[in-house]
Amino acid sequence: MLIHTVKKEARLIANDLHSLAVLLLMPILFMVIMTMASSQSQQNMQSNLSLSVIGKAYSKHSNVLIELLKAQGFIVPSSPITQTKQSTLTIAPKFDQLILMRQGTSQLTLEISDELAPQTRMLMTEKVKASLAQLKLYLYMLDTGDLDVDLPLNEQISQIITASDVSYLLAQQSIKALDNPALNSVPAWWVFGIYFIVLPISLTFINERNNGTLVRLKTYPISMARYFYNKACAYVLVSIVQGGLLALIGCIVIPYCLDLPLLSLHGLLYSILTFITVSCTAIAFALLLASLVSSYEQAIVVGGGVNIILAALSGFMVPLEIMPDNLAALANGSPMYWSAQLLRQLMSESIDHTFWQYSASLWGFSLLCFTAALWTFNKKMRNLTWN
Amino acid sequence: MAHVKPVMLTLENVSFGYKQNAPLSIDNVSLSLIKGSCTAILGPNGAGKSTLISLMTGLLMAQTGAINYPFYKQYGLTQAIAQKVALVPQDFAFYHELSVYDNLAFFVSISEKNRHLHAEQIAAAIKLCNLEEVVNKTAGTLSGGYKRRLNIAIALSKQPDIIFLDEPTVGIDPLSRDAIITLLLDLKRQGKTLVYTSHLLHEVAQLCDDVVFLRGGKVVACEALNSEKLSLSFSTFKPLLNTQSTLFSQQLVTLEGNHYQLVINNSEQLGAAFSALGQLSDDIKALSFSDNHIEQLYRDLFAEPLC
Repeated sequence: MLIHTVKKEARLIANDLHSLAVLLLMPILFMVIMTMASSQSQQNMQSNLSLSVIGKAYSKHSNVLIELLKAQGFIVPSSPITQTKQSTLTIAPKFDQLILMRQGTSQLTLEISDELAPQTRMLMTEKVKASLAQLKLYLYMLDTGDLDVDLPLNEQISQIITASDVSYLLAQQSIKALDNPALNSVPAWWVFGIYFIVLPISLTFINERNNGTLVRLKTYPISMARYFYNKACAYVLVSIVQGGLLALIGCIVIPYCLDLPLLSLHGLLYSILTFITVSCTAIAFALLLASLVSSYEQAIVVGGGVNIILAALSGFMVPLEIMPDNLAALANGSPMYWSAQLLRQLMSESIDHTFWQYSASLWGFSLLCFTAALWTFNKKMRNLTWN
Repeated sequence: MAHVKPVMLTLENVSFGYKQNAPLSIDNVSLSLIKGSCTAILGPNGAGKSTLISLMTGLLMAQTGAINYPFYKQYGLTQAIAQKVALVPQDFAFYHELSVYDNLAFFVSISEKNRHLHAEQIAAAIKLCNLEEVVNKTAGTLSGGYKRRLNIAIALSKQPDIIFLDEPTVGIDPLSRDAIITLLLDLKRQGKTLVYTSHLLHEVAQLCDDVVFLRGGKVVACEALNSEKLSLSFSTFKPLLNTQSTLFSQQLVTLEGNHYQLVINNSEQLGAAFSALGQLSDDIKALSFSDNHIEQLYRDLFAEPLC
């Protein structure tokens, strides 16, 4: 009977274009759009680092500063551009005298274009600070004689960059993986798609209830609890297949098409555990919502609405780091966030102890949801009569 | 010695109410169903038909009285229903996205534990309902007639002895309806017990042996349809005068316009009717006889509003 139930539920979804669109097309589109957007955003950040330096005449070190800014990735026009959207760095007359002093009034004014994104503005400020730190190092090394004053400027700059390089102190591998824009969008929208199985499940429940199939089944030699359990198993299998397809597309096809490093899953056992955990949680949650709703309208509003709110709270739409603290803290209570964190760890190949914490939380949540769903379903079934 | 047919289902003083302190939806109903019979349950909307069928099929539990399936003493009520009872709801209670075969396969997989029997039971249901031509078609794409047949085939695939049918011919063309009525008559001949609800009274007359009339949750009449009663209907060119109406020895029921009907219970009444019709021969436009007097009975019982 389980085999027939699996076949039935799989065919019901496969034969329904709307369900396929919700379960596959929608998350794939989100993955593509969001990965492209964050990839493009990184490129834009780099290309937007354009800075005009004003007041070069006030400092004999201004050329060094400009070279250091260029080394940080800034594009510095040879003559200042006075457009409103151009970011500017203005040097004050006493800059050279005050540069080595720890205190004093600021002698540089950084004005960043209002048109730049908050992330780009932050990046620009940090890079200007880094350039100034390198300038201080330059002056210090000249003073101590560690830097040959007769060397051409480009070689001096090269030595300063080498002396201030700290990248060897950082773990390179994980930084590379986390730099991949696909790593943020693929797990998030993968999870979003998996949780959206609530719509096909709700619609099947409502159809079965409305057209008398459930009444008919009540007169069959099977308990409704057993029927519910079989349906749940069938949906978990459908969800795992959906997860496999989304993982294939999200980890390989999308990064390949967008010329990004491919994502890989960390170990077969971890992958299987993650897929089963996330699918079981999504199905238990979907069954609970499906057993609560009574009409197509309710299914769409409750099923879709709850998932969209959870996704927003989990940082899928707006990054958690730019959310207010109390809103960002809510993500820690969201099963979608736990699910996405499991996948991120799996894809960034950096599994730590929180992997098990998130897994345990998801299993606990799914157990609660399944119990509540079964209770609600049984209660509704008891009240279901002829017509 | 006369052969006595076994009783399949009995209801003894069954009552049920959905809410406390509210009028009972089923009030002290007693009846029994004989093997191989077809019983119609009729009544206006809200009479309690659905509640009564829900009680008989175990979907609701009687608050007082007893419901028994004496033919299946070895089972409990729930088991007897699970094994021997099938429902044919008025709606298409199957999966429209699946093929005819897959629908049957799914329901058989629940009703029959022995997998070796599945193919045989599916084939039997397909054959009985003449679904061979559409067996691989998606159920949602079938015509109304075929959908009705599939609805019945799913019930039959359970191989039940008692089948409850709710308006199984609604919304289909006359040929498809005839095919379904023929199928149901065949089932009766095979010894299946049918319980039928419909507002199409000529179908009830064609198919059923007994009619239970419900009103306000109470049985207001039980009628055997295999009696000698006849229904005579005629229409006239212009309305009959009172003096013309009195020519008939029994009550003449005026239907719509110039249509009239009367029930004939015996040969004397038949003779009197012919005599009266003879006197009105110039005014008679059309004349027909039917053994369906159920419609008049229905009108007699339910014409007055429930107080």
